[in-house]
Parts: sequence; C-alpha cells; structure tokens
Amino acid sequence: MKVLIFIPAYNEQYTIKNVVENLRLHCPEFDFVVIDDGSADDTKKICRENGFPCIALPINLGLDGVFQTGIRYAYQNGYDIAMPFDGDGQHNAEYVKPMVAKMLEGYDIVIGSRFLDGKKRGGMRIVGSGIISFFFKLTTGVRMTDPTSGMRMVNKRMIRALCDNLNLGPEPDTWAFLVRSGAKMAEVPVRMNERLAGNSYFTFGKSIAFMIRMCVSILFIIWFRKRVD
Amino acid sequence: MAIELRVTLIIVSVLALIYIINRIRHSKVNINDTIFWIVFAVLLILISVFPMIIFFFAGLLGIQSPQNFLFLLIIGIMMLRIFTISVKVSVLQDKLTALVQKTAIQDFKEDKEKNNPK
Repeated sequence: MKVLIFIPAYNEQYTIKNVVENLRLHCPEFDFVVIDDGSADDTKKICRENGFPCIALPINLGLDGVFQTGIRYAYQNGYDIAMPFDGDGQHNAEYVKPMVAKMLEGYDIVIGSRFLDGKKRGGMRIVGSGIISFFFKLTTGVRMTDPTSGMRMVNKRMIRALCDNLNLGPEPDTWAFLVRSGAKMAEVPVRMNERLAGNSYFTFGKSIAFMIRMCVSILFIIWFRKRVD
Repeated sequence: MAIELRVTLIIVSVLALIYIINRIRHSKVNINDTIFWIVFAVLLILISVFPMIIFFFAGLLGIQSPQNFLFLLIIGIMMLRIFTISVKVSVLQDKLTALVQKTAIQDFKEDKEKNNPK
C-alpha cells in the first residue's frame, strides 16, 4: 500500500521544516512531497537545502490548484491513498496513521474532524460550519461534523475522480457530490493547532462568498450534476 | 410592474437557469463561476413573483416607476460584475506574463548549459 502525503505550502518558510520533520517522525513509512505554491519567500530554498522532495509551482495557483497538483502526482505515480497536510503547522502528524487505519476499514474518503468530541463551541466559523453540516446531511443523508476540515484522505478511486473532473475542488460541496455518487465517507477525531505564522486565507468577505457558494452548490446544483464512478 | 414584463422576466430567468445547469452537467464550466448567474437569475424570478420588493425599494429612493428601479438595480449589479471580472483579468494577465518569462528564462539557461558543457 502506497500512501502519499502532500504538503501545500505558500510562504511557509518558518514552519515547513518543522512540519516535515514531524511527519517523518510520526509516519516514516509514508511518502511525502512539498508543493510550493509559487511562494515569494524561501520555502522552496529551504526544501532544497534540507533535501525535501518539492514540487515548485512556477506561479501561485491557490488552494484548488495546489490540491489538484498533489492529487495528480498521486494518480500518476499509482498511490493508493493521498492526503494533503498543511504546511503551516495546523495539522498534527500523529493523526495520519489513525486516518489510514480508518480508510483500510473500507472507506473512500476519511475526514479528520475537530468536532467529533462533542464539546460545545462558539464563534462565526462554527456557525458557518454548522450550516454547511446541516445542508450536507440534508442532501446526502450522511453526517459530516467538520465540513471545512483541511485533513482529508482519499483512496485510489477518489484520486481518479478528483483528477479527471473540472469541478472537484477540495471543498464541502465536492465531498457531498462524491458521497451522493456512492463514495463511503468516515470521520476520525483529530485536534488541530492554531496557526503558528502567516494569515488565514479567509477574510470576512471571502467567508460570506464561500458560504453562499457552498449553499447554492450543495442545495441546488448537486441535483443536476452527472455522477462520477 | 406590468404583468407582461414580469412574465417575460420569469421566462428568461428560467431559460437562463436551464442553460447554466446544462453547462454544469456537461462539466463545461467551473461551478464557482456560475454561482453569480444562478443567484442573479433567482433574484430576477423573486422580483417578478413578488414585485412588492421593488415597490418598497423604489419608494425608499423616491423613484417614481418601479421598472426604473429594476433597471437601475440590474445595471448596478452588472457594473459590479464587470469590475470583479476586470480585476480577475488583470490577475490572470500578471500570472501569464510571469509564467511566460519563467519558461523563457529556463529555456535560455538550458540552452546555455548545452552549448557550454563544463
């Protein structure tokens, strides 16, 4: 079984080394590759100096483009499982193995969920997350407690689907669509860290646009999309 | 609002929606780029079915005829859309330029290495 962990990194010169070393410590048997999304800082240089395998995109592609790069690399090299792992230190390497174990129980998609422990939380992000969860359940009948989690693992079948299709970015509507197409999804409890450096991709305006997009896509568009196999 | 205008708006909006969905079905367009058009078409349908919305806002702005407010609204939304697309085009242009320059420089480096082996 070949597992690929790809590490999207955009201006992560301060954290990338730690992230990779942590991964090596906790799961030395899995392959990893850094995907540098056209960083303006020394991310690429640090990877070269430390001998980390690094796919350097010549220009900034953004979240979707980087995710697809990792998936395409996994597809071309015949990996059985692929997962993105944040280059900013938000994800914890010790949860990778439990996710792989869950996957081997016969799932197509495994999500690392921050909210499976049942604790009550507040804040705008949680409200947004809850709304998407609700719609997700409505259209798929499946519970997804943490739809915006960045820790997601997919198997070979999903790698192929994600690679072939224009409209399958790494977002909640994609998972909803894949589940409706017959993919089996499971969640595993994880803990995530506050980001150590750098800014979140989501500003207020972007969050609102994101919410509208997800609602329209999950509630409306999904009924008309051709299923993938 | 005249019933003729309302019916026309509804028919055109529904046709537009069908066309957009058809494009998505055939994976010919990025979903993110169609959200705007879907929301816009639904808004037009809403306005045609419940013209009170338009009456309310027209009254608020002191516009005599609700049709005029409708046109103003559509023009406003279009202006906003044109601006965001214009921003997008700028970004794309920048990226394309950077990409072309990078490939050209890389080609040049490879040629140089080929012609002057150490």
